Amino acid sequence: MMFLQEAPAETFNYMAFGFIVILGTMGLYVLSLINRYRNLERDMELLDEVSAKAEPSTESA
Amino acid sequence: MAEEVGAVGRVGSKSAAGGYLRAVGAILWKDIAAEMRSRELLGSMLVFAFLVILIFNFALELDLRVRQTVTSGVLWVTFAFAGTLGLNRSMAIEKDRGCLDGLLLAPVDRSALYFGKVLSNLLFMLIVAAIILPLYSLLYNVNLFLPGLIGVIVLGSIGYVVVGTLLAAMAVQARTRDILLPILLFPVILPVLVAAVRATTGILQGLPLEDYQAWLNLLIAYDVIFLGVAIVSFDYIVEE
Amino acid sequence: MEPIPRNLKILTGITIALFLIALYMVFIYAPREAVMGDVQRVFYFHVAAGWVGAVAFLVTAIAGGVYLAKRDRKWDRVAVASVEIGVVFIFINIVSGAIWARPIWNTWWTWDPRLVTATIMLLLYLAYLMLRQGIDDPDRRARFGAIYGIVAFVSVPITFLSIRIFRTIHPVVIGSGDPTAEGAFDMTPPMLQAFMFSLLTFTFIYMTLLWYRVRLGRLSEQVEERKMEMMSI
Repeated sequence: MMFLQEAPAETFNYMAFGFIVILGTMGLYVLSLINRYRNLERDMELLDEVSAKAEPSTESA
Repeated sequence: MAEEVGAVGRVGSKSAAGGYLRAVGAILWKDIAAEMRSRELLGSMLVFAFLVILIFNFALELDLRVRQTVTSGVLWVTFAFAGTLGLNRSMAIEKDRGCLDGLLLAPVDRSALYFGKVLSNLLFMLIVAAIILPLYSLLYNVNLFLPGLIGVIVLGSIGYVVVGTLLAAMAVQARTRDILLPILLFPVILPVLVAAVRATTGILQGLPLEDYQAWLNLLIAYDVIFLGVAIVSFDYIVEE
Repeated sequence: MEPIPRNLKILTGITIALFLIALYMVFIYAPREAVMGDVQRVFYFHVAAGWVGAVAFLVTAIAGGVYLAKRDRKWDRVAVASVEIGVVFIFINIVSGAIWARPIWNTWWTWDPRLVTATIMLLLYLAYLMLRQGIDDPDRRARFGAIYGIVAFVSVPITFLSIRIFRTIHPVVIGSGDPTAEGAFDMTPPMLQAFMFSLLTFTFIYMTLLWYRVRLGRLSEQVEERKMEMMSI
C-alpha cells in the first residue's frame, strides 16, 4: 500500500478549544443580554409600584 | 485673555476670507501669548520628553549597534507621549478658563477655531521636537540634522495634531479626561507612528528615497484624510 | 415589557436554524483539511466572527453619521448596540485566530496584518465605550460617540495598510515567508460552501443580536427616564 502523503496533524484538541471559546463567548453574551433585560424589567416593575404608592399621597396633598 | 478673545470678535467684520484667516491667526497668537507668559505647556512637555528619553536609556541597551535601529522608535514614542501632554493641557486651558465660550461667540466659522488650535498645538509640538532632536544627538552621538528627517517630523506631527486636537476637544469634556485622550488617540494614530518611525529609520540609515517613499505617501494620505474628517466633525463637538 | 415583535421571532427562528445547519456543515459536511487537521474547522467561524466585527464597526460609523444628521436617539441606540456586539465578535476573532495559529506555527500570536488590525479594532471599540462612559449628558454622549465612531472606522483601513506595508518590507521570521498568507490552504468546494454559509449565518446572528440589543437599549432609556421623573416628584 503506497501512502501518497502523510496523515493530517492531530489537532482535535485545539479545534475543541477553539469552538468552546467561540460558542461559549457567544452564549455568554446572549445570556448577559437576557439577564440585563430581566433586570431592567424588574426595575421597571419596581418603579411602577413606587409611583403607584406615591400617587395617592400626592393626590391628597 | 479678554483682549485676545476680543480680537477674534473684531475680526468677523472684515471680508470673509480675510476674517477667517485673521480668526485663525488670533487664536494662534492667543495661545502663543499665553504660553510666553506662563510657559507651562512647553515646560512640562520638555521635561517629560527628557524624562522619557532618560528612561529609555536605562530600559533599553542603547549601545552603538542597537541605537541605529531603535533611535527612530525612541524619538517617536517620546513625541507621542509628550504630545499627549500638550494636547491635554492645551484643550483643558480652553475649557477651564472659559475661553471656548468666548471664542464660540465670535462670528467666525467654527473650523477657524479648530485650525487655530491645530496650528498652536503643532507649533508647540515642533518646538519640543526642535529641542529634543539636538538633545538626543548630543546624548547619543547620532546626527539627527538631516533635512528629510525634519520633513518626516513635520508630516508626522501634522497627522498627530490634526487627530489629537479633535479628540482632545472631546476628551476634555469627559469625566475621565486625562486618561481618556491617550486611549482614544493612540489606536487611531498608529499608522502615523508606524510610517514616521520607518521613514525616520530609512533616512537615518541613508537609504534611497524609494525605500521609504511608501511611508511618506502614507503620512501625507493620512494627514489629508483626517484633516477632511476633522473639519467636518469639529462643528458637532462645539455645537452647544 | 414590550412583547417581542413577530418579525423578530421569525428572524430568531431563522437564525437558530441557520446556525444548526452551519454547525453541521462545519463539522460533518466539510472535509478534514489535509495538512492542518481538525483545527482548520475553526477557520470558518473565525473569519465569520471577524466579518461581523467589521460589519458592526461600519454600522456604528453609519448610525453615528445618521444621528448627527437627524438627531433621532434611535440611531445612537443602534450605534452602541453595534459596538457592543462588535467587541464580542472581534474578541472571538482574535482568540480563535490565536488558537488556530498555535498548532500550525507553534506560536499564539503572529504579527499578521489581519490579526493586528483586529486587535486595534478591539482597542478602538473599547475606547469608544470608555468615551461614552465618561460623558453624562446623553446628547453629548451620542454626538461624541458618533464622531469617534467615524474617526475610528476611517483609521482602520489605513492601519491595515500600514501594517501590510510593514510586513512586506520586514517579513517576520515566524510563519510562512509570504506575509499575506494567513495559514493558506486549498479550499475544496464543500469547504468553500461551509465558509460562505458560515458568513451568511453569522450575518443573521449579528442582525438578530443587534435587534435584541437595541430593544434592551430602549428599555434601559425608559427606566432611566422613569427614575429621573421619580426623583423630581
